[in-house]
Amino acid sequence: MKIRVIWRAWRVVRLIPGWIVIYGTLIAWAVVAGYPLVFMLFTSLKKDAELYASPFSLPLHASWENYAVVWKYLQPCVKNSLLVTFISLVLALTLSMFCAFAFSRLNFGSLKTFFWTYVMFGFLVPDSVRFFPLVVFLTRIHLHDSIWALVLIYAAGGIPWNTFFLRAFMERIPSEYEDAAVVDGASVWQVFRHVIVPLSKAPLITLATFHTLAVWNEFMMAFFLTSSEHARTLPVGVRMLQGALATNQTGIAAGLVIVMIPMALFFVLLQRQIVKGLTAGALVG
Amino acid sequence: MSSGKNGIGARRRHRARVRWALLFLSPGLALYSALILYPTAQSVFYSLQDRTGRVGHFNGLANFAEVLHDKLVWIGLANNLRVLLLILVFQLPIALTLAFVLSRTRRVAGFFRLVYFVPGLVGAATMALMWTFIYHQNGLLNAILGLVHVEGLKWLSGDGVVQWAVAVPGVYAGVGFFVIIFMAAISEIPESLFEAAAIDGANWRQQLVHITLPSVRGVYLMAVVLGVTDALSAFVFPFILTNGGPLHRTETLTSYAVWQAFEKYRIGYGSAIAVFHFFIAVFLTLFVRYLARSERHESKAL
Repeated sequence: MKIRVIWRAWRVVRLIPGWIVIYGTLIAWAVVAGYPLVFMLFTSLKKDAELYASPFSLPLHASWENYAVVWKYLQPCVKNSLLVTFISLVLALTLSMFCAFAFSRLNFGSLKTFFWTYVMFGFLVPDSVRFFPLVVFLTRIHLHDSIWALVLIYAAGGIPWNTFFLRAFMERIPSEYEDAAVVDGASVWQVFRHVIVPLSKAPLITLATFHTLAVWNEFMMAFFLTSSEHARTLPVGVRMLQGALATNQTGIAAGLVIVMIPMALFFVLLQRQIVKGLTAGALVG
Repeated sequence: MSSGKNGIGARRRHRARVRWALLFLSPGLALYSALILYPTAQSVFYSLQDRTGRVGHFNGLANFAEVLHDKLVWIGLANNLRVLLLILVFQLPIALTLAFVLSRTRRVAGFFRLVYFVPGLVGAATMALMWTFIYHQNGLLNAILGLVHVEGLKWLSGDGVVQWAVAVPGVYAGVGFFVIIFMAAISEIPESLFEAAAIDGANWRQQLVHITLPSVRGVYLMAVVLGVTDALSAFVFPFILTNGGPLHRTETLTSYAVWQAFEKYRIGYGSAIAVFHFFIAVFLTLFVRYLARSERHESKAL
């Protein structure tokens, strides 16, 4: 009887070192990754003097004033970012759907290989290579400092990857679906609209989350192509706080928290899609 | 080929198919050509000119000769390679360890994955500003050092320190991304392999060495290739944290090209640096893929 109890206890105790190693590792990095975020949250509720006097303390006289101050700067950027992200998303996915459909379901001979190579070349080119002529070009056609410059750039930048991903998906759709529609007298456009598009919902959602993440955070193009309030996106607005709130560091912290919380929620809500999108992106990359 | 049998009808149908295909392709290809391919070609064109602003004359390979002799280009490249070194030595091994450990837990995996991923999720500009609080003279890092009575450093101005200081944040923020990638790769390993190994009496260490690691090899090599691309295009962190300074010591290839093009108005020379960057990126990527391939052949031969 007693031996059995000891034996059972031993079986549990035996596992403890393993648990310590596993959870010790996990918690260690959670602190490294998470503490600065918590630190930002606490800092945002303090005043500058309090921050430097006692950086680690809880915000004892918590004040939400910083958020009111910083929101005035960020609010127009949020609107711009939402517009840029949404419009470029719709544009990129629509055009990529067209392209992927042509590449996967239409047979047009050797031209196909040529155009495919042509589009896939876009994968090779780093952003910085096409950057300077783009700025010159968009300035010349008076599109700089407008959200439309970014919409077009982000949509164009998404085409190679989205086309690649959607083509791979469409090639796995059995041709029976299509044949049935053709027998019923459907035109090419009707096949696309009523057969292929409804079947592609899942990859489109995955690509949409992926595109949103990339575009929402893009900095370089946005910084050099937008400056005024009616065009600059959130990353540019965040960078601007550095100068605008130079004497109010904890106000900057409030701005960062405002940026971080929606992204964290976005991840929690769309976790599965994001993981799928990132994984697919990396594995093909 | 089958058109021989059906004659004109088939040819007409083929032509109709080509028309439909071009109709579907043209909007996407037009946008792509205008904003990706055309500027890329133009960049190559600019790189052969002494262009400043709108006017430029061809000067052959003079820009590239200058690139090769420009000390700041090599400092920039060294800073890019510093990021790559940190990715290879810290980011990917840490991410793989965390992914492996996380794959052995059940209920808490979602929570930890969220915490790990948030720094990479909020964007480089936000992260960079957060690190100004960490690196500040009276900031978080020096305060932590103060707790253990170590004197703080001038993280963003001290020579020999600042180069590493601007390289770390991006590497740090990227860990969570690779945790997700590696976890996905580990979860793809069929459970039956582990069960069979367990029946044969393999402990977790043997399972790690003989099942997990070989299975994620391919994904890990992809991560290295991505790391090369990321490291070579590093820009936001030096730009926001130090603006390439002090004295251009933290410049990367991209930030230096941007400085030449937009501060000195030497668009031709900036483009030449960008094209140089492109060649280095292609070369390094092919090199990593070549290493991966030759290693695979060796392991097959064994």
